[in-house]
Amino acid sequence: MRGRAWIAALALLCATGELWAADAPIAGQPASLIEILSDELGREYAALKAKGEPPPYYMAYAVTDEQTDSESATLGALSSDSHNRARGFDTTIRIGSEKFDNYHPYKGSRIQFTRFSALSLDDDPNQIRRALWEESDRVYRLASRRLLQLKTDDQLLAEQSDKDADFSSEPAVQYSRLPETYRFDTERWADKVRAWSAEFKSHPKILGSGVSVRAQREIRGFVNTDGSKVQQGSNLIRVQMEGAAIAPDGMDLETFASFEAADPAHLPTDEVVRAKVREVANKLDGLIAAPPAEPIVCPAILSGRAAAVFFHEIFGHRVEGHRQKDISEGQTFTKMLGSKVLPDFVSVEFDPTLTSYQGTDLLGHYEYDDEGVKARPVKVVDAGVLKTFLLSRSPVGEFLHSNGHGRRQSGHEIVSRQSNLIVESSKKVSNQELRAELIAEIKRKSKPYGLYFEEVSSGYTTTGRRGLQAFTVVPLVVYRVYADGRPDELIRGVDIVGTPLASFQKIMATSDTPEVFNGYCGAESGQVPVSAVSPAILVSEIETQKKQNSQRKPPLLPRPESE
Amino acid sequence: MKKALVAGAALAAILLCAAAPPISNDVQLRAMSDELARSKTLQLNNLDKPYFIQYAIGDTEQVLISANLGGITSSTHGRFRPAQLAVRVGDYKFDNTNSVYSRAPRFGSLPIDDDYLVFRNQLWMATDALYKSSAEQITRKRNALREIAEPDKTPDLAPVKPVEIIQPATKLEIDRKAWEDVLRRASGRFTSYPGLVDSLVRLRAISSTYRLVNTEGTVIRVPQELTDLLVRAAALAPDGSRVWNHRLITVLHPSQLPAPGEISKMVETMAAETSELAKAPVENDYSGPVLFEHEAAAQMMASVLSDALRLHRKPLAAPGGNSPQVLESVWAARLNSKVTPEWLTISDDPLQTQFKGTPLAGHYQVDDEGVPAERVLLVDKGALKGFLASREPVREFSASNGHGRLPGSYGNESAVIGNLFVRADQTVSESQMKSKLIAIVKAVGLKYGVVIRRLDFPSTASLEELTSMARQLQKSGYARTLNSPLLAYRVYPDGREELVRGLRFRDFSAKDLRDVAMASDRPFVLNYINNGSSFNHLDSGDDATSSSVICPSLLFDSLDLARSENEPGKLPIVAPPALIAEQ
Repeated sequence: MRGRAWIAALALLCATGELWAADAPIAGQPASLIEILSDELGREYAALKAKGEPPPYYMAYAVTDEQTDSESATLGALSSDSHNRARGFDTTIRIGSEKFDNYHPYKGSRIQFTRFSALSLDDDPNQIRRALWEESDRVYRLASRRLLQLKTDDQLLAEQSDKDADFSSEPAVQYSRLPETYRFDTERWADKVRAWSAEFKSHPKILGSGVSVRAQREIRGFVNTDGSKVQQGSNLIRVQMEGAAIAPDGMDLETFASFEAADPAHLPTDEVVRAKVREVANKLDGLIAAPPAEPIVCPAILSGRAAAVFFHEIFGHRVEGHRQKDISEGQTFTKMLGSKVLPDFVSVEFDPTLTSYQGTDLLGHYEYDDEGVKARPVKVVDAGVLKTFLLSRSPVGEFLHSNGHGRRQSGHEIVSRQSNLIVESSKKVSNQELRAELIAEIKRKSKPYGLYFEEVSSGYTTTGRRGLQAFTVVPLVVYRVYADGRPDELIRGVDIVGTPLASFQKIMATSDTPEVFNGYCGAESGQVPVSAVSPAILVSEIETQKKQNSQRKPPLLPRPESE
Repeated sequence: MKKALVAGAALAAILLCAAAPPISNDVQLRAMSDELARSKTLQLNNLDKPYFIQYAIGDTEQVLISANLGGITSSTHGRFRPAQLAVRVGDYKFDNTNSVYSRAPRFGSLPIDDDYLVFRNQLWMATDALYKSSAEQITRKRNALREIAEPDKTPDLAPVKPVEIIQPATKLEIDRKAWEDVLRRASGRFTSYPGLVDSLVRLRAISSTYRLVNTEGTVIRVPQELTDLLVRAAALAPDGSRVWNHRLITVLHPSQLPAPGEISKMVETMAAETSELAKAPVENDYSGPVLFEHEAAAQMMASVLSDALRLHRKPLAAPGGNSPQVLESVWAARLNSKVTPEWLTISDDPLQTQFKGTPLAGHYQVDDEGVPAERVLLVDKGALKGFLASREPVREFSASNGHGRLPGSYGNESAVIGNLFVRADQTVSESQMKSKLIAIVKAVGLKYGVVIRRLDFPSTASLEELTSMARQLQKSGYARTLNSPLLAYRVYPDGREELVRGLRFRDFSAKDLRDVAMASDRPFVLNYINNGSSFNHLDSGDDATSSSVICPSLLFDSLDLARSENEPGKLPIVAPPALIAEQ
């Protein structure tokens, strides 16, 4: 059945041509998959409870079915064309008790029980049941061995490792809502990325460049022995563009931009994308010619998008619940509950229930988290004061229940992760006024200039589920702002020194126009889609240094120009 | 049939192209040649100039379908153009390769659109990066050389005559949907065998047009095709240990695969064998006559000879530095010596397309370095006469014989078996082979002998199994062993056979071929995928090529086999879910 919203979207699409059309549901009926999962879960759990020593007290299966279509091009030529569908599942088995089980952290270490195991794309009950059975046996053995080890090890510790319980009880839920199916028009998208990527042709100094589109439909099925059955999913389409070059002194330079939407009708028009590609290319040319940064401590403005990334990386990761339990972590905020961690005009909320923000789709949206806990808004910082953490079903101190932030990429164990981070400010001024305040601050501090961080990069800005790069923020496009009325000056190779957390306590004001940053965030439980929304912020002080230089020599021969 | 036609067409193409300029209408070759010409001028300050540059691009299309118990678990189609580039600085006698500093970086895929300028652009950047790293490598190599009293004077690259071979480009011709159905049905046959676990039917079809140009003037465009069908299953024995079994069919083109009905039958047979295997008794250490029958004899030869017939070169390293261990061929010092009984002759001839009507997967015209394939006499009436060679000179062997087909180490291509023919001048019938085995058993006073009908080659062993094998090997101090038997039988004096499980070879290498006692009169054709990994593990490595071994059954008077030292697992606590048998 096609949803009404979908038909509306289709109507819109027809005007521009159908690139993403509703199609018959893909083979198989997801409903029957959930029944197979649920039946086998019941059978396994009953048998393991009867015969397992020690018996499990909780089990869950989580299926991920992902259909991905992508096209990439460089300089007008298609460089890859890929269409994949994969379905696999994760297995959770908890043995012991909620107070102390096989997931108990020991000296900061956790181990991975699950692994992504392939499931039939055909809803074939034979294959699915067998795969669940084999995997449950493997995970049960691993889990029971771990529990015995933990019990012994814990006795040997001077002070028992963690007084918090390992698992919370949560209500059983039933939910089913699947995203619309789509048909990806390969030829049309291939032509589009070819055309967009050809924009780089007129920039001979740019060495590497590319434009890609990636459409993904993900369906998640979840059953547990509490009786929960959840089926949900999401569509995502992402257009991404990037350029790379080497400055005359050998410094590596890159620029990047992307558009994301849950529905292709929400993507900007072709002309807007094309203009963005030009902007990425022009910025990179600008950087090649720009002077290198010098070390300085000065006031700065972070654009809304840059501030969003900063909040996500620098602040968001530090309020993830499991970090408060882990002695190997910095635990910056563990003992600061009820204390001021940000200026009193700043609040931070994580709200996975939001599907969009001022017309931009949010990637961090979901209805239920990966432990089957209903999503809800969580105000982590209220008027500067730390109120709570992001919580999975792993209790932290006084917080005995999940707040729906247990997330993972398939093949990883669940930990608490971010969703849609929303920065709110009660000290808002217009962008112009914010700039005026920056200039005033530069003068007051007698600094030669201030900085404007327009674009920053982090593990989070790259799409490919590549590696773990969380917590790092790399400024990409930064300007010097002079107090004497000279125009802003683009500089390259800015590196932020020390923990920028200190800068957050030095926020002086924010702008009144929030911006959205969408991306994938990598951490212990893999890559999960997230969003961050923030207005531009003015900080009284940020310390920067000159970036390490790779000293790579630009190519010796000129670019081949023609036949 | 299809193959013969392709070969005929190819020949015609060579003749046609000899007259017309061959590459003017091939965008990829044109871009490769033009950028190559320009790259010759590369020079950084006073550093060495390139003397040899080579571009090779495999225009590749691949279909991969996996099915399990009647359901498709994965079905993918991909197109990519992996590039292999070489920029050598110095000269043929001394260049940047063959030292511990020599690395051949891999490049990503080139665009899948035929865009002349973008191709050149990508090649330009890759060549530049490679030239800089080659110039750095030769400097480090020279520095290391200064500390070595008597350095190896072997040249670094074997010169060859340039050739131009232009054959038509290929396209993957496969009906994916139809094959999904075939695999669904075939894998569904496993539902009648509830005792089996982890069953799999997998089809992989690769079609590639290989293009190569180098600064010596060689220009190549040849098809490289490869298709394989894997049927595999495991079972749990009553003691909890895991046994597995497989059938592998390797051909060049999907049209050469068995008919769907035969594939289903193959699954049935394999499934029945595997079920039997789980019930079979565990064999203890064994020392006595061993008969390698049919497929097993060819698998044994493929395994030991791919190692023995290739010479390895020790990379140059500064004294005291970390010099890598190089496991030299067991035949390295045996040229002109006896390595097998004098009634055995071994040669490799990639130019043969078939053997008595069976297509040979190891056929090719020109190797991956653009060197035309040559027939090589390796063992003549028991005496070692030569080795398979790529352009990597090793000791006195300084010429390629057109066998460089897999990426090797330290900047070289590795020599690989093409079509390996093992011919026996003295043969007996298959039944006489078994009689002889029994005669030895009786003469020695053993309770039984052993016949092996299938080896785990190419290996599909699980990671656990591989780890356990490596551990056992290390413990016993052997450098080499043979892939484990999948199907081994006791043969009692009265001719009765009994399937056994849990056997592994002790040390086993080509040295043992001196002890071959007898060969049958029925050569078996083994076509297989070859990736150069240990035990030729099917899922290892990024590169693969295909080879054939044509070999009769072989009897050894005495070999040592050991009981595998696996930790027996535990049987699952929960009974398996019932299977709905498919019709």
